[in-house]
Amino acid sequence: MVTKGNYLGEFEELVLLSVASLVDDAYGVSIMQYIEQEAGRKVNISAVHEVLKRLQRKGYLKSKMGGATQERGGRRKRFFLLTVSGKKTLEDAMKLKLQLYKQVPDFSLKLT
Amino acid sequence: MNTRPPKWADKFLVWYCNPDLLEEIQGDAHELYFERVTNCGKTVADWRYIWDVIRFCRWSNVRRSDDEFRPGYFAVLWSLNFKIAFRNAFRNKLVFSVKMLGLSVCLAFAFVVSAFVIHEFTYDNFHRAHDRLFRVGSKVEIAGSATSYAVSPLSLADGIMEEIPEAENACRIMYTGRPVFTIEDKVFSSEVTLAASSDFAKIFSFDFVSGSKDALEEPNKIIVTESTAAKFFGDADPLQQMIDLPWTQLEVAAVIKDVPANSHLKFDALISWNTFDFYDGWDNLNAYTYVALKPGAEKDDFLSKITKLLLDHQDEIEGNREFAPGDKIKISPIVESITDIHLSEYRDEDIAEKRSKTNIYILIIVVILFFATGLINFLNLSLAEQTTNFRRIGILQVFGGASADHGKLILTNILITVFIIGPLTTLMIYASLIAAESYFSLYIDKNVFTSMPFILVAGAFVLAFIFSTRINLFILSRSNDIINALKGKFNSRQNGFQVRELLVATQLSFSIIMIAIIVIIVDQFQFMNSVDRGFDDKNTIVIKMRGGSFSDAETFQESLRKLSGVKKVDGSSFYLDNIETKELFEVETAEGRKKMLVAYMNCGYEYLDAIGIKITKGRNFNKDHGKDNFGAYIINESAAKEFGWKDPVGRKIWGPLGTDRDEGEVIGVIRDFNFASLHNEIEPLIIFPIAEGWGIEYVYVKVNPIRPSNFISQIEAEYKKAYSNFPMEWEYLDSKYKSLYKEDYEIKEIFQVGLVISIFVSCLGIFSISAFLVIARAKEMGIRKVIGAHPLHLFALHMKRFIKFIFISFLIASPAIYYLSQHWLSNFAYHIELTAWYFIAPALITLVIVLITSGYHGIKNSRVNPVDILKYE
Repeated sequence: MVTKGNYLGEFEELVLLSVASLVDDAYGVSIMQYIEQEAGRKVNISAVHEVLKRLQRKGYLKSKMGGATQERGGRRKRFFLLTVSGKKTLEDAMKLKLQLYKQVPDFSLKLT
Repeated sequence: MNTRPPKWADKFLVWYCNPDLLEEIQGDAHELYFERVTNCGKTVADWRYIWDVIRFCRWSNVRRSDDEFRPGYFAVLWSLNFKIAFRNAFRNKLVFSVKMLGLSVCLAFAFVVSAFVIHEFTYDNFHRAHDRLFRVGSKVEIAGSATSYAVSPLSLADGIMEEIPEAENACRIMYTGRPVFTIEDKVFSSEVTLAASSDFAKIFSFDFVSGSKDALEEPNKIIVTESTAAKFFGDADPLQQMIDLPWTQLEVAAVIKDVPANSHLKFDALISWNTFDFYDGWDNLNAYTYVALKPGAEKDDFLSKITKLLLDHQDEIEGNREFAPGDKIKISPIVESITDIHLSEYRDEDIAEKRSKTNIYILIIVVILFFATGLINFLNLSLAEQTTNFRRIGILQVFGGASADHGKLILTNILITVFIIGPLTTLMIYASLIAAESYFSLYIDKNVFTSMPFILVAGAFVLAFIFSTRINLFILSRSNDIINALKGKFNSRQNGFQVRELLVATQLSFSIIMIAIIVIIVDQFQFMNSVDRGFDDKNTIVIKMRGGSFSDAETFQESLRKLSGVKKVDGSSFYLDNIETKELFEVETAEGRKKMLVAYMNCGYEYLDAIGIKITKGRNFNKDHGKDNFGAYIINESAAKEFGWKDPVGRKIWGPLGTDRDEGEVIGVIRDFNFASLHNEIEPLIIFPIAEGWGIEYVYVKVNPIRPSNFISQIEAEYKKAYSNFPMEWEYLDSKYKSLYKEDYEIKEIFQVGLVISIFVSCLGIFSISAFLVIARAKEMGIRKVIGAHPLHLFALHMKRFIKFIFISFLIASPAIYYLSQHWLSNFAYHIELTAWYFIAPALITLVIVLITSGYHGIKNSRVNPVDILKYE
């Protein structure tokens, strides 16, 4: 499996951030709903799953199965957690964005 | 809660989804569903559930794979495998190119030879009904001696159709030689022509290009092959064109594709049977009879019926032989499948292309040897290469590299190998096919490469390749070695090394076998050249005569005698492989007159002198003896032995029976000479002078080594004067003699190429192995040197190993050499004897080669500077 380097895609970053902020409750549906609620963006659940898998392969996320549940027919949830390298990548990405953002002169923003 | 997602959608999800992922996917989908049911109602929830299920249907969810949730290092390494492999290739350019080149050279050679073998085995498979096509030959027993003929009575085909219900079709073919075709003013005389009856097209599957399949039904029709048509008529449409024979005119009725290379019948033109006025009796044993049995008919039933058919016609078969009324002539059929004809034993008067089976079997062994050599060399080198990569493998293992990941490693290796070997081998095969055609005139049908057997052979090799690379990795991934590798210990006592030793020894033994066989073949050829054939074939031109009267031939010979550079000229019925025709003679023995079937030839008075046949007893024919013309015989030594004559001169011979010759006296005995190749034993021979009524078949011209440069054209001019219609056909006797050994020369050439390749590849192997040894034992050598070893001692230490290789390979090779050479030599009635030297000499040659190749590293080894090596510690 070939991965496209270590940088994050836009949606990947969004999912990664959601996982980070949901802390202990990050699983497929909750992540999807969080994104919908915070970013106002409707995404299909399968797309979220896909990205989660990809992030895990890149080593930014780790996962474990939760306990049995009452809803969803007793099926377990897979909870996702940030790995150290995931956290670092996220920090790097944020830092880079902030750094670039800070260099934008004020007037150029006002023009828009 | 009673609501449930649509059942079928759920089932579909369960069906396609990877079971490892099912729980979380289904869980999330269901959770969303129930939420939507409460928020938006059941219908909307159902539809959105279906949509989700469809969206989940992605390859990553369908694929059953266990590495999805493993940490990513292996995925990364897997992608790096290619990079690593290529890096290694660049770092060890020499080993890498040696590896690839060695394997593809061996492969190309093995594939070409196996294509040749398959080509030989698939003779006549192109006939659609080939499994029920048979040729009927005959075994003739006269006066106690039996001879197998490829021909059978002319009436047999008709008899079969009338009386044997199993037969679907039968056709007869007669060999009509190379007639002289005249088209307008052009003359052609080199086309092999057959007379064929009308069922020919129904039995054989030669493809028609134009014209009708019934072309052979009417008289005076001819079918030509495409290339013959092009030769005859150029670009013009050949159909309905007229061709002149000296005695009739033929119309081109059809054109067929050129006869495939794997047809036992080789011809350029077919003339309809009815054009000729053949004598149709059961006693005319001259036709090749082919039968197509009905589908489902048993060969054995057919055989018993045809045996009976021949017995029924016994009277007619014996009919005209009134000169030997007391003799029982028994003819029994020889029925052979058309696909067997090419490789079956030789039969008299056969026009089929034949090859001896032994040679084919020897070639099969060569193929196997070469596949093995290529593979072993490849394995060896990759073992050596990977041993140096132990550390990487160690790291892979520590990261949890299980067999699956090694599988990937192997796959990368295989893929890279295939990418390089594939085109390289194809290129070499192509080049060697061209070389084979232009240098050795070996034609291999290109279709062989797409035929089933060839694909099977190639497939078998690929399997062997994959399997052996697996073994290779298995050896390498032993945990002990890995731990040692990570600790930085790297010694030559590892398991991989013992395996490698065995591999090298096997490979070397193949080289020894090749050398030994080549030496034996060359020796046998030398033996054949040096053996006293009993006649002198140097500087002799043989001119083929075409009909014409006896006196015409005499005048022609007389005119040749006047040319400068000519030593002797005389005619004969003899031409190397031509004496097959035997006739009945009566000879005087201790038990009275006895009938015997003996080979004969007739010749002019000067003939025996001209080709240097020596007379050991008695005298040569002499014109001055009036009686010689019809009353004198000369026999060879074998004949004297056969007839039981101590003193043959003066004994009486009668015959050949049924001709104008009657009683005569033996006037001389000649030394035995090989009138055929050394494959056959010298048979008894009776010689008598040519006379009016017997015709002269060949004129022999013994010439001076120093002769005018336009000598041949002078002879041609004389020939033109005598026979204005015909182009002259001539040959040098010694080149004809060589052509008798065409098949043996082919084998020799194949072995010669094989020898070069095999030595080349083993040199490569030895060279890289010794390079590896130097690295592996560098530290040891360093320490030895510090302690005070002499460089010469170190050199000897390095070489000792290779001498061991040679010894092992000598043991492996000897039985194989014995077996193979015995088989090949048994083809010859006269052959060299195997001595110990044929086994020892090749081993010594190989030893020298090995010493030279490994010597480079041996010297390097002995000059090692211990400081360089030991300072690392």
